[in-house]
Amino acid sequence: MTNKSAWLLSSGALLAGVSVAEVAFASQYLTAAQAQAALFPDATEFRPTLLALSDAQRDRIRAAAKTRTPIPDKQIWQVFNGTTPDGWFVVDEVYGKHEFITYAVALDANGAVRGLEILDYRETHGAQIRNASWRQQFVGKQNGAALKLDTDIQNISGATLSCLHVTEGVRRVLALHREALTTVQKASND
Amino acid sequence: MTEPALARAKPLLGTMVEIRASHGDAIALQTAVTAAFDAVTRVHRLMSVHEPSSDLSRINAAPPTSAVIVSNETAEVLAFALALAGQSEGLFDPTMGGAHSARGWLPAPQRRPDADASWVDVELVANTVRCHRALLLDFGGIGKGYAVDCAMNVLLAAGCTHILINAGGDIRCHTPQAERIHARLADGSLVAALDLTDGAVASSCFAESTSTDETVISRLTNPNTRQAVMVNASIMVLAADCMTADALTKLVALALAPEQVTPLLQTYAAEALWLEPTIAGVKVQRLPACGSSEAHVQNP
Repeated sequence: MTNKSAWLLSSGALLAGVSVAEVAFASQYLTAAQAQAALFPDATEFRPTLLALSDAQRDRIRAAAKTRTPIPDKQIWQVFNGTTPDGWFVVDEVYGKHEFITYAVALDANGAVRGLEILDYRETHGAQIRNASWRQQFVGKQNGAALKLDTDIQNISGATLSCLHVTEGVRRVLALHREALTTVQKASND
Repeated sequence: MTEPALARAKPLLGTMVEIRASHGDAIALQTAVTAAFDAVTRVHRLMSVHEPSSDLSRINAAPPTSAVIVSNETAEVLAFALALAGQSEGLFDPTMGGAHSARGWLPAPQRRPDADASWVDVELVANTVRCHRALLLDFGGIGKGYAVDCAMNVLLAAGCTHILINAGGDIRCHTPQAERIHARLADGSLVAALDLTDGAVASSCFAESTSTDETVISRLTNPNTRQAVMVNASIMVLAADCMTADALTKLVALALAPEQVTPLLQTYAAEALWLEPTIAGVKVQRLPACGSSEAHVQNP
């Protein structure tokens, strides 16, 4: 380890830091095309698939998960390896209290999750941070335990909750597959 | 010409795992990062108490004194955990799964653990684990850091450069130029920074606001009292590798006084930063103490 006494704690830097109250974190990872290549390296075609979901289907899909963003019926690709259907690539968005996440999930031809990539991660509490009363809730709170650390590197502070939101999103994509994609696949197999 | 660079993130280990790296060859880079994520997934599969077939679940389900053969990785983490338990006289204890399960932090065990069992009841010889009392191993304090280290080893072996791995605040870095890592409060304000070129930093706050009622709970158990500990501070630890940094944050948090763990920090050539919110602002303390190691950040 080559770090010697690497903490930067000069009071000037500290105080300057505290005045930085406006924070809007964002991290971009892969594009949809890059995620397609990463999740389906052998695919020869990504065929955009438009779904016309019935109200009953929408209700059943919504009931499958707590996710409240629009059902991702516009960002679905059926994946082919030559003429063989190889699975599905779906781009979906989920949000938590403070963050907004775009991710891509790959399903194999049987509808099992084959892989997942985060495409985009944004923290969305900039407006709240400027609100003094919102800030105040963290100051001198009983046990003081709301102090939270994170880093600028990926800027994911509510990482555990984000993980749960993505898990819920995937649950909904699986419901979408069950409700609609199996029929599409049957048609392309014939 | 700059080398191809890649940043990918996946939800793993119950958090977001981000990997950034560069390599002269774009294809080799993609393959290496994929292999690094696979290494993290493997550690998760071996050591998660949520996976019934994991090494840890098998140990926890086995009758006392029966032999359980585990992977090299699990044996390595357990050996480190038991060594640290000995060095800290039980202040760090990887067998607090029973207490965590009783509080609903972990799934209910198949078998009720012995309330008095501790790390001294775990015997590890090569890859064979024997527990002499019914207990529940939980690598919550070190598994994530170890997974980060495994990912780093894969990327280094593949010839990657400019490597940065972050698993929800457990960070390992290997870069030619220093990366600046910031410690922020929940409101986004900055309290400290750290320039890291080759090493690891872990951070813990041992508190979470639940999404529903903002109840603040601690996920730390004092092995001596078996009580949940409310830690009135956030802690960052800098060490050579992420497993060490991860484990030491728990030790620093459990110490009666931060200074109590200074000798252990020195043993591992580690440094800690203790951030404590007060009515007046944030009290910042550095360990081992050196010069004017205390600072206060005033509320704006």
